[in-house]
Amino acid sequence: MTSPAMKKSRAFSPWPAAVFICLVVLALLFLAPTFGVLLAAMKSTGDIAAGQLWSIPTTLFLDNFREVLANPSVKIYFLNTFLVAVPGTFGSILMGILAGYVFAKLPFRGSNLLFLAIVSGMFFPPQIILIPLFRIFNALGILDTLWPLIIVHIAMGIPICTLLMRNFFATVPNALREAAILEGANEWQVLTRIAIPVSLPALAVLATLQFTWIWNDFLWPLIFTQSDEKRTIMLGLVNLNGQYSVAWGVQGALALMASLPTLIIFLFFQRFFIRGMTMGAVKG
Amino acid sequence: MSEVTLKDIRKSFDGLEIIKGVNLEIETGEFVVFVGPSGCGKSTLLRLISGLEDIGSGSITIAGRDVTRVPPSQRGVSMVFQSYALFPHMSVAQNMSFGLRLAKVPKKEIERKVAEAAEVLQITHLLDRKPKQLSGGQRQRVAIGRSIIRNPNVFLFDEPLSNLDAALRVQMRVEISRLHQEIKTTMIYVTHDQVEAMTLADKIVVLNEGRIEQVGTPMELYRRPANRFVAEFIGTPKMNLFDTELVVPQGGSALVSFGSALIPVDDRVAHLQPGASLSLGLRPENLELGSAADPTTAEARIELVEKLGGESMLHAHFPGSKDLFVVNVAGEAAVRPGETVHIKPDPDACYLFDGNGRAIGQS
Amino acid sequence: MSAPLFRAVTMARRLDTGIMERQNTIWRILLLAIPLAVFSIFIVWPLLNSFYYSFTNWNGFNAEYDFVGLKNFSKVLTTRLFTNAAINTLIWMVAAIVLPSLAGLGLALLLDSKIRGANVFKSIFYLPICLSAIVVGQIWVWIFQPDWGLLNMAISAISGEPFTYAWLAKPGSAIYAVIVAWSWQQTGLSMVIFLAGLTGIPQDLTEVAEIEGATRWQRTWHVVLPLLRPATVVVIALSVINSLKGFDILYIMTGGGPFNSSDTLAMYMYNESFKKYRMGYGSAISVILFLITLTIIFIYFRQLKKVDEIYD
Ligand SMILES: Nc1ncnc2c1ncn2[C@@H]1O[C@H](COP(=O)(O)OP(=O)(O)O)[C@@H](O)[C@H]1O
Ligand SMILES: [Mg+2]
Repeated sequence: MTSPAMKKSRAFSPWPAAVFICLVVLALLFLAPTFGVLLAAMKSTGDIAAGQLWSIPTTLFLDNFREVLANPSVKIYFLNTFLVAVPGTFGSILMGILAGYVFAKLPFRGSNLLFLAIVSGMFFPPQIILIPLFRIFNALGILDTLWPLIIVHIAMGIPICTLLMRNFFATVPNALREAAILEGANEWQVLTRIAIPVSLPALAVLATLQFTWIWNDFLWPLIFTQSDEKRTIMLGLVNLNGQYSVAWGVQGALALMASLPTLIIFLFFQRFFIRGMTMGAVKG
Repeated sequence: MSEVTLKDIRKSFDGLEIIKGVNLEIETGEFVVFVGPSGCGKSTLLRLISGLEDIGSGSITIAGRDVTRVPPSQRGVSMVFQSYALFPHMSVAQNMSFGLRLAKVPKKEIERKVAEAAEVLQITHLLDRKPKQLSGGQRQRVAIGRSIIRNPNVFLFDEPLSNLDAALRVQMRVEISRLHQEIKTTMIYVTHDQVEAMTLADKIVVLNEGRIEQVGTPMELYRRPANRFVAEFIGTPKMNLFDTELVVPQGGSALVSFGSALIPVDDRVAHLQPGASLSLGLRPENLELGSAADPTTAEARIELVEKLGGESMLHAHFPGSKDLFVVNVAGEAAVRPGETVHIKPDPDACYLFDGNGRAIGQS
Repeated sequence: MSAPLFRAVTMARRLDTGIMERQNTIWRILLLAIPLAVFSIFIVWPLLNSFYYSFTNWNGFNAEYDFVGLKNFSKVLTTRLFTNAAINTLIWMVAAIVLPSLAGLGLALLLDSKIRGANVFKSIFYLPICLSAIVVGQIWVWIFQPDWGLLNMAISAISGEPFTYAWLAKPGSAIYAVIVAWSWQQTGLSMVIFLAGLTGIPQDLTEVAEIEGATRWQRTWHVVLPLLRPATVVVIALSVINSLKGFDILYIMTGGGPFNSSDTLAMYMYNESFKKYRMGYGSAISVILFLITLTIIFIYFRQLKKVDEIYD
């Protein structure tokens, strides 16, 4: 059935192959830095200093990971980060659900303006509120605890969570809410039994985003914590890198382990993750 | 006894009055259809009755109880939405029992009621499915099932068939009609489709721009439209309306002109001055082809012939006029576009409307 | 900010309000109360306070401080360090817009041609986004490491003689080295936004162009790129905003050095406030940063509106 013309154009098109090769090269370049850390984590400091970082290891060398795991601080850092990231993620999403629901389903005069004001918070550099927050938490006597971090991440998450939840709730037909109300549901029941269950995909998106951001955060723990027992993993990473100043392999193992939770989330929830990023960005 | 009473209902959105004083009595067990063009306020009126929208002023009584300030779920009404509004994450059974579960009705009773309603609607085999797995007609049934299970005093339907294809629409129309005969509960049904209204209703309420134009049985509206709007709205094909004036020859009885012909009109126009402007209404089925020799026929030119098999629609206009009117003739009409014909009106079937569009007398 | 809420409360009190609207009002208040309180207390109030502190000489610890008027601002704006940081911020921003956007666009165009394994490629290019700036910084510190860093090793291998330039320790190259690291991380983000934009382009448009005899380049240049304008606006705005927030990676890679050569406003503000404890002065810097951001957001929203007008 194929006409000669079609055959010809197919046979002569160098495009797919060229594009493919181009992409492979770029992908290798893109992967190289991450791959380097992986390699470093599996080499002894001596090997790295001797210029052996970029060669493929012949034996599985796990001392670096042993070293990291044996360090009691690392456990504390991980625990602290979880203790911040989990409530921070849940808290900010809860705020987004509450506010987003009102903006989507119970709009009132001026609600669009209020919504815009909240969402614009997404765009400001956090440095702007650093000093006053420092003073507030100092006055509350909770500096150098995990509380300021949880609170700040919930508060700073409100703009993006409100934006995404409002946009998602807006796609839930009003008739669903009205049908539920006619069946005797109050607004809270509409929210918990209808709006939230049908928004599970959006919640997955938000949860991956928020968790990643909070996990990776550096600035807030830098400002609000001082003692080693209250540090989160990213801050701890910097600190330990000072401690293992020339132990590159240990640093590599540390960096890998510190990235593990977000890497896992990324690999498992890629679709949600990418969608969240684009949604947050495009709808902004 | 009247089931639903609306007293001077008004409603505005953003300062614009959408419902402009509606008074209506609906009898128990009646099937009432609100019909009117898109945007005339039918849905709004229905939502005011359901309580989803607060009324601006006036009062609503349902089953003898003033429900003006009663929340929607306690008014004893249930509603079927145009989009069905089925909860996508719940199975059919869960959808139907949602209200009962909220009210903490015992499980056994819920199961019994769901089974009963499913039986009536023949959806028992679908109870475990999710709405996504259902066809349009099945979703429709589930939505009705969710209404039935609440055992309401009044069923409200907002254009429930408009998302279905034509064949299914006819089938569901029949089923809704059958359901009404079976359960005999008061139903208020909103549609913009006058055929649906004519076929379903015990009583039709014609709405236009937030006001009731006329209330009556389908045949009353068809035979005795209260005004031009209802006359044009009810009946397919539409009634032809001609702007004309009253002619009273010396010593003779009153006539109105129909193209080149004059139609005698009886004494119902006695109170009008000669020369008063009138609208003459004639349904397509009350016009026929006649011969040139007949003085009661008017000359017209055919623009378009629509052959529908059993009947034909002739679109024609009078010489010197561009306004088309429709003539419905039985069988296959032997005329072609461009041909000049003579149209004979049935003088006993003509409607007259005064300058304000109000019907004059009744024929 | 709470004016609409206040109005809602007074409306609820009016007796002629219907039952639905009254319930809605109660729920609005109940549902919005906590998020608004948190947002107001921990974002809005501190923001206002920043303005206040910028007129004082508070040091961060003492209870008392003096009101110094515009002194902080006049000092900030005339300091060479500020000018330096402002210029670096500008360089940083321009590079952070141009590099990841162009790279992201290129990748998106390549990936859009229904290539085999497109999803794998997408994930690879996107992967750095899920790494923290700290880890990214650390990775690139190694790449730029003078003795065994990947870059210098590659250069040595190509040129045949040992090359040990200390990229991050030389004022001339430090900020650019960080920009490269930053671009590596951010490219994936602009790539997905452009990809989203590309999938929004109806295929018949490019097919029509193909039938009309347009070459692949002509199609891309004259049909695809103009239609990507909305995505472009988003990418650029996002790059600007993200780059303004770019603090962590500079902190970890250069700390603003050497000799302040990679100092940005965010960095400068941090050093003044939390290293030198000149909180009033630091607040003045953050107020300036705020005003810059506000200007950019304003332009952003105006652009978005323009785009909406064109494409709606
Ligand atoms: N919630 C609302 N806010 C503002 N205007 C509304 C609202 N609901 C309906 N309207 C307006 O009221 C008029 C009647 O709407 P509706 O009752 O839906 O008409 P229909 O007869 O087609 O069902 C329309 O002009 C519509 O725009
Ligand atoms: Mg309607």
